[in-house]
Amino acid sequence: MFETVILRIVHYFLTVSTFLSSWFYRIPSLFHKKSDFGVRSDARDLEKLPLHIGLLVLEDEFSYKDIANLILWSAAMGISYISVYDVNGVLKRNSKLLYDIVVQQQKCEDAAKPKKEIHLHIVSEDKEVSGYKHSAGTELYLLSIEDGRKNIISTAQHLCRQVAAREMRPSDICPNQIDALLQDHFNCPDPDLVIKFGDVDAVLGFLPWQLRLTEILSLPSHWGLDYKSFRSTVYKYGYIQQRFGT
Amino acid sequence: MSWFPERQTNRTWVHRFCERVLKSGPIPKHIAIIMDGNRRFAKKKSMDRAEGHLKGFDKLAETLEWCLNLGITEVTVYAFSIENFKRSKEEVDCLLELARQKFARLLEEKELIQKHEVCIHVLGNLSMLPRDLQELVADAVNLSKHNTRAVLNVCFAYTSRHEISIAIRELAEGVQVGLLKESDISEELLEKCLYTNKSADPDLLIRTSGEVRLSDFLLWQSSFSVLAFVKVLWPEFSIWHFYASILHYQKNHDAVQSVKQSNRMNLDHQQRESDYQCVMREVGRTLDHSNCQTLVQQYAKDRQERVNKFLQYVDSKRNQFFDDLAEKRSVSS
Repeated sequence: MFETVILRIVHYFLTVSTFLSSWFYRIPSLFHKKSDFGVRSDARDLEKLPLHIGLLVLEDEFSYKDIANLILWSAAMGISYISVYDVNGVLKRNSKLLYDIVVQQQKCEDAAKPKKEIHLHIVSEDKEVSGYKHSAGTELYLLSIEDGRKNIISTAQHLCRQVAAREMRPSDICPNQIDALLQDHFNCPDPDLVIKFGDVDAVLGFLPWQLRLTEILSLPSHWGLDYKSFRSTVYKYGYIQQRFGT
Repeated sequence: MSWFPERQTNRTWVHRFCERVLKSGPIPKHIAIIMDGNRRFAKKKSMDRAEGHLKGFDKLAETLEWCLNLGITEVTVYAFSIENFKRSKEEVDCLLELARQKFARLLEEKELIQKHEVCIHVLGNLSMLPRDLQELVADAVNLSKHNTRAVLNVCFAYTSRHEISIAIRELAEGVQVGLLKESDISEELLEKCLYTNKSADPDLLIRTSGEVRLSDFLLWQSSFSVLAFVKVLWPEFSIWHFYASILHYQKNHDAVQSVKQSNRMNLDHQQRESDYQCVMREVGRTLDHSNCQTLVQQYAKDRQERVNKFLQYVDSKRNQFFDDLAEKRSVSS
């Protein structure tokens, strides 16, 4: 009984301190809006920019406006592949709504500048929803838990079919081949950086196979996130050195 | 230092008190650890790399003790990745030599393993190791395989992608020899073909040295694990860092459990759906409701039997590997 009370108090203090630090983090933003141009010059300062960024929205409520901002900032920095993940696929189901908001926000920005086209993909439906495939632009993927372990299972079934049809032997199955099949399916490289939004410190089913060397960073919430916090997280990625086991 | 220090390393009343407090909340059953930072530690203290790795091993022994005291019954550690074979020959040799010494030591301390009732599994592509080390490993595994109080999984010559490929290979073989149908392949079945088939997924994954990636470790199994990235280098990991990680786990416990549970329900649902589809394909579409239900139930029963038979086959094949090695060792010695 006594121990339970102490543990409660400890956790209470932990919660308060994380809450305070997350607010402290937001103070410097000062409602300052940065234009697309500034974003691009920020990206130039970076030594290393992710090719593929994963945004894991692990909160119960979604702010489409803030998610759209995140997508546009990433695109303006020059990141070519953006995937947005939520466990239950809420964003996937509301892809139209999200995409419209992205396009709308993009229009609101400086009208004089050329804009990157954003192509929306929903992998499990096997089709590209919006944008022209062959024009240069940013590829946006909406993902859910279904695209993770379940996809490895479909790949396994595919390989088993081939083995049953004597097109290959079980001993031919190797990591590179599975990787190639999954790459084909998603048509994008593995994410270099994942940013988690929310209190939960777990990846909650996000693409297990592709998460091999991904840097996992967190921000307390995507709600009302300002550009500076996002930028400093991408900067943090820029400073990380990878040694690849050697 | 031995695997199980006989003398409790200065466990004061403060530690006992903290343990009691922590135990009043949820405690992870299984934790996974990436013990990173031995080399940076050696460099910082300007010692030999080998000595850094040795310090890392001592820390592991200490951590195992902390886990047992808290009631954590399973620990999985990343000792050596397949990628590590790319390091300089000198360092690879040194790491393998350390492993050789430690497994030999483990065999010398038979009574201690039995006393602590710890079961040791070695997960990975053991055939990549030198023959003598393989035999030592097999001996240690065979010696401890009946222990049930706690489990230590040592990932050696391991990467997660390799593990998943091996599991898929196993499944393909099952389909090829006719033990399995392609539609029997599910997340649950693949999990049972992974090296970790005897363990539940880790509840908490700790990585030291401030790196924030999984580096091909338990990619599949850690989908719903609480992640604790700790800034200190592994040899500097103290009991306070350990307690803090447990607190971190407790903070995340409810949120992760609820997602895990709903995922499990989803999987059950998908399995029933898949059984139903399979029956429909077999008998055609004209079926009345009551008849359909019994057929689906029968199908599910048959599927379970197929799966069990297949898993027995996989299990016996894997046990055979260790038995063969142990046998050869006893013949040669």
